Amino acid sequence: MGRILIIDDEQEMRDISYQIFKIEGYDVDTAADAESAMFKIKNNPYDFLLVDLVLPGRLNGLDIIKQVRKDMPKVKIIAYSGFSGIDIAEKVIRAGANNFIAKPFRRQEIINVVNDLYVENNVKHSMAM
Amino acid sequence: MDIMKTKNYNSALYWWNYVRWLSTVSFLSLGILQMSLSRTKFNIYAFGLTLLAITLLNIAYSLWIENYKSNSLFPVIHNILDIIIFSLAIFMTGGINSPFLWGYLIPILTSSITLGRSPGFLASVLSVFGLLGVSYLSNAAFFQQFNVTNDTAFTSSLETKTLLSFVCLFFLVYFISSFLANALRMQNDDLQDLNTQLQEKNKLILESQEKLIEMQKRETIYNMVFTLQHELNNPLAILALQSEMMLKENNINDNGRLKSISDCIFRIKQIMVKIQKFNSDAIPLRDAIDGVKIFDIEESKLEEIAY
Repeated sequence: MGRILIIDDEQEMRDISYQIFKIEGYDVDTAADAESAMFKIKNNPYDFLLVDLVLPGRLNGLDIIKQVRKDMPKVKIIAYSGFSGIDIAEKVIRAGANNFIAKPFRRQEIINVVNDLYVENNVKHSMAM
Repeated sequence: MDIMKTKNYNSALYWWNYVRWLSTVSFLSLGILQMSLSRTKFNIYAFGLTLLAITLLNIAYSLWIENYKSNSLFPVIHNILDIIIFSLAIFMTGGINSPFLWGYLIPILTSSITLGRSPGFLASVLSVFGLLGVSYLSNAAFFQQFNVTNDTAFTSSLETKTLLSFVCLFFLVYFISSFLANALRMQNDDLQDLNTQLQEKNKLILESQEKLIEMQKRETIYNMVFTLQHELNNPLAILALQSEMMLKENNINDNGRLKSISDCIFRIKQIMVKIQKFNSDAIPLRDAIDGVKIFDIEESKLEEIAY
C-alpha cells in the first residue's frame, strides 16, 4: 500500500485517522502544522497527503496544497475541513487537490477516496509500463 | 430647509402686503380729509365707498397670500379692480392734479411683485390708460361741474408734462420692482430645486444606510455561522470516526446505539449546512416579535436549500 501523511492540528483527529489507515495497510505519518508537514514532505516520498485546511501558523492547508502541487505533481492530495460548501470545494480543487471532503465524514468515505486514488494511480503506472 | 425654500419670496409678499395696507388706507383717508375741507361737489360718501372697496381688495389680497397662492387668476382680476378704484379715487380728488396720482404705483407694484414681469408691465400700461382717462374726464364739460379742480388753473403743457412724468415713474417703478421680484422668485426656485435635490439625496443616503446596516448584520451572522460550523464539525468528525472504530474494533452487540450516535452526528452536520444557507440574501428577513427579525422561510423549503 502507499505512504500517507496526515496533516491536522487536532491530536484526536490525527490519532483516529492514523488508526484507520494503519488498519487498511497504509504506511502512515502525521504532522500538526504546515511547517513540520512541509519539512516531512521534502524529506520523505509520500503517495498521499490528507490535509486539513485550517492550520495554526503562517501557512494554511491551501498553501501546502499549492506548494506540493507545484513541486511534486504526482502526490495525491485529499483536503478536508470543518467548512463546507461548493465555493470551498472549488477553491481547494483549483489549488491542486485531487478531492475534498467536508467534516464530519464516515470512515468508509475517506477510505474509499484514498483507495480509489491508489487504484487509479496503479492503473496509470501499469499502463505506462 | 423647508422654511428656507420659501422664506425670501414669501417675506417679500408679506412685506408688500403691509405696505399696501398702510399706503392705501392712509392715501384714501387723506383723500376724504381733503375732500371734506375743499369745495368739491362730489359726494364724500362715494369716496368713502371707494375706500371701503380698496379695503376689501386689501383683505382679499391678504387672504390670497395666506391660502390661495396657487390661484393666479385672482391677482389678475384684483389688480384690474385696483386700477379702476384708484382711477375713481384720483378722479374724485382732482384728476390729473390729484396729489394721489402715485396711488397707481400700488397696483403696478402688486402686479410686479405678485405675478411677474408681464403682468407688471400690463398694470403699468393700464395705469397709464387710467391716468389718460382721468385726465380726459377731468377736462370734459360734464365733469367740470363736479371736479375739485374747477378753481385750479392749469395749462395743457403742464398736463402733458405731468402725464409724461407719471408715465416715466410708472414704468421705472415697474422695471425696478419686477426686476427685484424676479430675482427673488428665481432665487426661490433655485432654493426649491436644491431642497428637492437635497431631500432626494437624503432619502438615498437613508436607504443606503439601511442596506448597509442590513448587510453588516448579515455579514456578522454569516461569520458567526461559518465559525460555528467549523468549530462544531471538527469535534463531530472525531466523534463520528471514533464511534465507527468502536463498532469495528469491539464488535459490540448493541450496534443500534452507536449507529444512533453516528446518525445524530450527521443530522447535526445537515443542520449546520441549512443554517449556513439561511444567511443567503435570497431569503428575506421578517419581524418575529417587535424589533426581532428571523429568516422568512417555511419548513417545506428547508429541504430544498439543504444538501
